[in-house]
Amino acid sequence: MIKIFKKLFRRLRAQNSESIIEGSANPLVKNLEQNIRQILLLTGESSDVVYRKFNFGSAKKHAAAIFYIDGLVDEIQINQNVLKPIMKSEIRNSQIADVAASFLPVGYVRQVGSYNEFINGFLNGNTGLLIDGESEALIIETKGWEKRAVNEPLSEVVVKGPHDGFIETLRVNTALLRRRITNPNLRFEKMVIGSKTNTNIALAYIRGVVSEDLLSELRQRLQRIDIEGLLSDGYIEEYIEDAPLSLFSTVGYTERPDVCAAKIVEGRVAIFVDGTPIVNTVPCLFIESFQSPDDYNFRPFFGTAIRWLRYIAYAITTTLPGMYVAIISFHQELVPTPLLLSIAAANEGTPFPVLAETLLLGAVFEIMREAGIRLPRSIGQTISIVGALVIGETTVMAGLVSVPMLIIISLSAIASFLVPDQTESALFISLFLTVLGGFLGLYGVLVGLIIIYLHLAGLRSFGVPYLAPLAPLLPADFKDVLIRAPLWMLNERLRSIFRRDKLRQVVDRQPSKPDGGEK
Amino acid sequence: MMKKKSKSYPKSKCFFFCILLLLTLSGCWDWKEIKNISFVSGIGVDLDENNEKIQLSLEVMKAQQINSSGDSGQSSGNSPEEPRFMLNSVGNTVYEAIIAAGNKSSRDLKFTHNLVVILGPKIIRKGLEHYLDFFIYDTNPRPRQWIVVGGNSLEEIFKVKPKIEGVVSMAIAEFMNSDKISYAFEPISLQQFLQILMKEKQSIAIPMIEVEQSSEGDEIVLEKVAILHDRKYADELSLLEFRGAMWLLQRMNSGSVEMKKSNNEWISLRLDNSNSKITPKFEGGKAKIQANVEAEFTLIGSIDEDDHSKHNQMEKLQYQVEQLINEEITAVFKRMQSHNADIYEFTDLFFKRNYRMLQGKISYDEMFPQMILELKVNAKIRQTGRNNKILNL
Repeated sequence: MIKIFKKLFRRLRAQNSESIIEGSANPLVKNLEQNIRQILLLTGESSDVVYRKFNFGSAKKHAAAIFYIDGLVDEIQINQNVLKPIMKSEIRNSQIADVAASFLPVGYVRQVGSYNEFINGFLNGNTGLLIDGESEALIIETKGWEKRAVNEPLSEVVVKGPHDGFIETLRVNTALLRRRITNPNLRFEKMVIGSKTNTNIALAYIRGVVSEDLLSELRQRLQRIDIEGLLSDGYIEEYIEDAPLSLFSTVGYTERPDVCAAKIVEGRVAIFVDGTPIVNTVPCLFIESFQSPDDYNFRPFFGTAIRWLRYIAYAITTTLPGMYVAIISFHQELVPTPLLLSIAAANEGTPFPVLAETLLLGAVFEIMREAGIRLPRSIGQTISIVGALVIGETTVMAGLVSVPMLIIISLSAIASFLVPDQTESALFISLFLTVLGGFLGLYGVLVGLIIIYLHLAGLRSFGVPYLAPLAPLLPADFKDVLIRAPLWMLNERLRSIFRRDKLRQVVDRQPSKPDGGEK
Repeated sequence: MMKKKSKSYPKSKCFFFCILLLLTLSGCWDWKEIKNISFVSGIGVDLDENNEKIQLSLEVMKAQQINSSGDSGQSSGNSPEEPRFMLNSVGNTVYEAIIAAGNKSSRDLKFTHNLVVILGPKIIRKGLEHYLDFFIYDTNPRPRQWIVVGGNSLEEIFKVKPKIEGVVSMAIAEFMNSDKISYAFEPISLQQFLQILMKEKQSIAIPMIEVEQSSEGDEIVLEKVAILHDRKYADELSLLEFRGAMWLLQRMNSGSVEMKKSNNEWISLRLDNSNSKITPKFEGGKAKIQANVEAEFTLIGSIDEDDHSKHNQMEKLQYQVEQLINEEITAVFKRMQSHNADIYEFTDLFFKRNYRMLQGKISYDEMFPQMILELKVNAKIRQTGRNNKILNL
C-alpha cells in the first residue's frame, strides 16, 4: 500500500516539476521578439523583471534587449558598462561574441544558449543581453543589491581578535575567507540546490590538505538533496548529518571568517549558503563546541582555565538538576547535615514534589528565554525584570518553590550559556537526567549518563568519531583538548581527522632569548 | 574511508533491553520527599526504671526552626519555637523502640544524619553486649556519628537547652569536633566503638557528657571519660587524669599543662609537640612496656619568683615537668591495671608480635594487670614567648 502511494507521489511530483519548467530547457531562438515573449511567459511577467529593447550599431539597425531584476543589480553599472558602450558602438555585425569581446567593459561575461540558463543568469542579479538574429545570449555580471555591512556576529563575540563576520551574501563571504587564506589551493566549488529557490552554495577547502574521501562523500550527500527551497544553513545541516535523529549536531557552524579559516586550514570543508551568514563546517567533533577563538588569542594558561570552565559549566547545566533531584529525593545522607537542614527548611510547605518543581521551573526558564530572544531588545529587558523579580521572588515568597531549587535552575541555565553550541543538547540531557533522577535516584542519573556516553561514542561526523580524541583515545590531540597548549607546541595536525601528513609546522620553534642577550 | 555499516546493529533492541534492566534491577524505589522526612540528630539509649527494657530517646531536628534561629529580625514577641522535639519510647530491643518512636511522629524518621548516640548510665552499668545489635546490623546510621556516655539520665541531658546550637546532640557533636586545647580526650565514632566492643574483654575510654546546673540555666559539659571494659562500665576519670593515658596513646598533640610548684606558685605550659615510642618486651616471663615520652612546651605563664632566663632554672623546670608527666602516666596506668582495662591495647601489641611465643605461656586476660611499665619522659621547654629577661632587652 505504502509503495503504491510512494510511486503515485513520485509520478505526481515528476509531472508537476515538468509542467513548471516546460520550455525552459529549450534553446534560445534567433528571433528577438520570440525570445522576449518566451522569457516573459516563463517568468510570468513578474513585476520585478525589467526588460529594455534598444537598437545599436551603425544606422541602429541591430535590435537587442536586456533583462534584469529590479533591486538586484547595480543600475549605474548597467547604464555605464552595458547600455552605453553597446548603444554608442558603430559595430557592423551583431555577432554576440564580438559584442562580448569589444563593447562590454565588465569583468565577467558568459555566453548561454538556453532559456533556462538565461533566466537563471539574470535572476541571480546579472544582466541578460539578447541580440536579434543570435541564438545565444550574454549574461553580464552587474550584481549590486542592498546588503548588510560586515559587522561582528552577535552570536560569537570575542574580546580579543578580529571583529568581522559573515553576511548574507555568498560572494562577500567567500571574499572574506579568501582574504585570510591567500593560497591558490583554496578552492570554492559552486553548487545550486533547491528546485524553486536555486540557491547557490559553495564548498571551500584547501586542496592537498583536505581528504579526498571526505570531499567526495560531502559532494554525494549534497547532490542527494532534493528540496524545493533552501533558505538557510540549517536546511543543509539536516540533510547531510550522519545521525539526523541525534540530540547532537555533527555539523559545525560559525559566523566568523577567522574560525572558518582555521577549520579549513585544519583540513575541514566549509559549506557557504547564499542568503545566510552561517557557514557550516565538516567534519565536526564534540570537543569543538568547547573551543572559542579567544582561547587562542589569550595566554595559554587563561585559555586552558576558560576551557575547563566551559567543561564544568556543561557538566553543571546537564547534570546539576538531575543530581539535585536524585540526592534530595533519594540520598539525603550524601548531603552534609547543615546544608541538608537549609534545604529541608526551604522545602517546608512547598506544595510540589522536588521533581515537579524542577520541571516546572525549568519550563518557566525556557519560556522566558524564548520570549527574551524573540522580542525586541527593549521589551526583552522587561521580560528579564519580570522573570527575575516577579516570578523569581514572588514564587519563593508565596512558598510555591524553594530557594535552593531556584538557585539550581538559575545556575544550570546560566551555565548553559557558556557552551552555546551545545545549548540544544544540554536542554534535553538535563531533562532526561532530571526525570531519571526523579524516578530512580543517582542510579538513574548514572544509567542516563551511560546511555548518553554510549550514544556519543557511536556518533560519527563524516567518518570521524564524534568523541575523538577522547573516544577513540588519541593522547596526541590532548594538547588542544585538556589544555590549550602554546601554539608553538601544536606541531601536529589533529590525528582525529588526519592519518597522514601529520606535521603542520616546524617542530622546536619555542621562542627564546637571543644568544648572549644578557651580556 | 566513509564506510557504511556492514550490518545493522540492533540498537533499538539493545535500548529496550537497557530500559528493562533499568526498571527490573534497580533498587532505588525508596523515593522520599525531603519535606516529609524528619531527621534524627541524637539517639539516647538507656534502660527503663526496672532495668529490663530499652528506654529510647530520639532528638529530632526541626529544620525550619534551626535555620530561622539565626534571624534576629523576626521576633514577634512570642518566645521562639524550639528547634527540636523529643520522641521517647520503650522496647525490648533498640529496633522495637525505634519503631515505637516512629509511630509517635507524623513524619518518617531518618537516622542518616544522626550525630550522636548517648549511652545512658544504667545501660553501661548493666553491660552493652545485648544492645549493640541494632548498631551492628542496621546500615542506616552513619559510621561517623559520635558515641558518648551520659553521666546523668537521658531525660536530664536532653532537657538542656544549649545556648549556641539549640539542639543537644549538635552541642555534643561540636564538643567532639572542636579542637580545644584544654581537652584531653579522644572522640569515639560508632565505627571505632563497634570495632573494639565487638570483641570480648576489650576496653575503651568514651567521653562522658554531664549536665552542669547553674543559675543561668543548665549546660552540657564534658569533663570526664568513662572506661568501659568488656562492654561494661569500669571506671571514670576526669580529663586531667585521663591526660596520663593520652601521653601513652600518642594523642597528645596540643594542650596545656598547669604545674603547681609550691603553695602559691604555678607554671603554665602550652604543649607544642609530643611523641611517644612504645616498645613491648617479654623478659623473664613478664611483659614489659618501654615507653619513651617526649614533649616540647612553650612557657606561657608563671607565678613564681624564679628567673626563667637562667639555664639552670629552666633545667630545673623541665625536670619538674618530667616528674609531673611521669606521675600522671603511672597513676592512670596503675588504675587501669586494677580494672584490667587495657585501654592502651598493649596486650594486643604483645600478642600481635609474639603470638606463637606467648601461646600457652600466659593468657590474654592476665597479661595487662601484670605488665611492667618502664617509663622515660623527656620534656623540653623550647620557647618562652616574649620574655624580656631571656632576650636580654
